[in-house]
Amino acid sequence: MISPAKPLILSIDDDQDMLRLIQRFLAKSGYNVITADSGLKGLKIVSKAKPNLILLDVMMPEIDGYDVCSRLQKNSETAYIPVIFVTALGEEQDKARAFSVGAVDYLVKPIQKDILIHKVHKHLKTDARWKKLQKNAVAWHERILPADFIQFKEFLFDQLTLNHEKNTNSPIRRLPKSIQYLQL
Amino acid sequence: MTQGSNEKQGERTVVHVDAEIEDLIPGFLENRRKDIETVNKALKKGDYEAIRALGHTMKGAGGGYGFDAITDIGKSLEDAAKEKNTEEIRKRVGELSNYLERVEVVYD
Repeated sequence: MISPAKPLILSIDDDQDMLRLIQRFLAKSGYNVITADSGLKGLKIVSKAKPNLILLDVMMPEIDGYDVCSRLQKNSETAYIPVIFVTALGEEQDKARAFSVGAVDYLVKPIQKDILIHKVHKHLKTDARWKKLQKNAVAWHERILPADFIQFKEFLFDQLTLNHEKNTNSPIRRLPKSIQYLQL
Repeated sequence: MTQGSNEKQGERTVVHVDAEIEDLIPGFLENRRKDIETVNKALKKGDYEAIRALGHTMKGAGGGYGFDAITDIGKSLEDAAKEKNTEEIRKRVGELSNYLERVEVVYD
């Protein structure tokens, strides 16, 4: 049963033994886990379930993990879901390719429980911080009203005028403010 | 690997596995027995790509369950299939069969 309070992890792998193992380790560590045994099924689940994080195998029939990750990146609704590749391919070029298509991390099979849990926890935490920052940024943006901007321009103009008069001893001609802005 | 450690005791190979995954182990080992049949059938058809893919899967899963030897056999199968080395594939399948007969799992 899926508990709404727990983060939801989607594990995509064509090997049922791997899916069972990952599901067991994560469930015992307090995560909700859903699985998909192909890239296409995984993409369908992502659009419906909106997981907090995805564990993605590379070598799968039909579409491979690189392709799945690229498709997720192209969709604005799924582009920000952290993807960790979980694969038996451990060469540097494999890792580089994973990062180039948008992965946040890489786990080499055979998986080790402690490393799996550590990476999932770390990236969920980073993602939560990132979302908080985004939310704060939106809140600040919403607080700046058009009227604030006009007042800020007037404040700036007054400051510049004072400095100019202090430095040159010659007052700026009192023109309508709209023209004075143009002069500055 | 994390869950298991292997030690040979006479004819038996004892593998220590995390009790957390105890119920998953019989199914995992049964799937490896099925792999033997799959490889033998693929060999008859000359389907080296199927053997390579299966070796790759075994390599990825074995150690995660605590069976490092299965990861090693999987890697050897994958490499042998890439080279279309029938003799080596047969040798590794025999090794897997022997291992599955000898393995004794202890849950800690």
